Amino acid sequence: MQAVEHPPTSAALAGMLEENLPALRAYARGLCGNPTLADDLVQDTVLRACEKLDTFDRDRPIRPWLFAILRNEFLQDARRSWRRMELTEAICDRELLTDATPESCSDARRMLEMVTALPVDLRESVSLVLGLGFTYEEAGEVCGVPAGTIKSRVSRARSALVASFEERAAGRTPTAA
Amino acid sequence: MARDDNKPGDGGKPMNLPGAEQKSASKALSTALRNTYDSVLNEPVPQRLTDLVARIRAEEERRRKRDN
Repeated sequence: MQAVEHPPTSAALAGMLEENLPALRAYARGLCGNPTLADDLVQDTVLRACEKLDTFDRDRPIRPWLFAILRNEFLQDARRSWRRMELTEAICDRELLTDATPESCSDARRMLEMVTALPVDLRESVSLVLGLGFTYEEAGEVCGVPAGTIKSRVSRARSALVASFEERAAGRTPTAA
Repeated sequence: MARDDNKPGDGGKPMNLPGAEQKSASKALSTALRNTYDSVLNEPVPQRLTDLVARIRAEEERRRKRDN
């Protein structure tokens, strides 16, 4: 994905939004786990970006700014507890393959469900860095934490997901991340 | 794309995987994750979102003409 770095004027907003829509959708999908709710989240993000354009620092890249808006919208909705997609253990057990391995898990839906089952801080970090190719610095800017924190979270998320695959392959219930 | 070294003390490893297997599983996981997100990236963007951006573009045009 090619990010637009420095929007010169508000007239460029539509183009920048359009260019980032696919990645915003993917990030939202990884956060809330449900395609329809994820697109609602992107829609809210687009509207919020229009409202907040005057607060955007034009010396900063646009991509972290947009993704931070989406993240904030998600967290606000999650606090209101009406949009968050929680995966219960029962749903995980029913939906995830007991003999899954990373190699065999080609099904995008199942993979996203596993990501969605992670705690939010790990979920957003793994989505941005491993899923969407953000640098640790960019992801840190989105999440409001240092790059080192993102790196640690990605490592923990990776370990949790690998352990989950391993435990499922062994027929055990996965432990919490 | 950022890389993650998965160093000891930086999150730990599953206890039951030897180092080489862990590295292989971790690499496979990264590939699976990237493929998963790529599949979403390659989906067509829903009409309601493209329509919304089109309305923003039209509004920008109207504003630009008015300001000029």
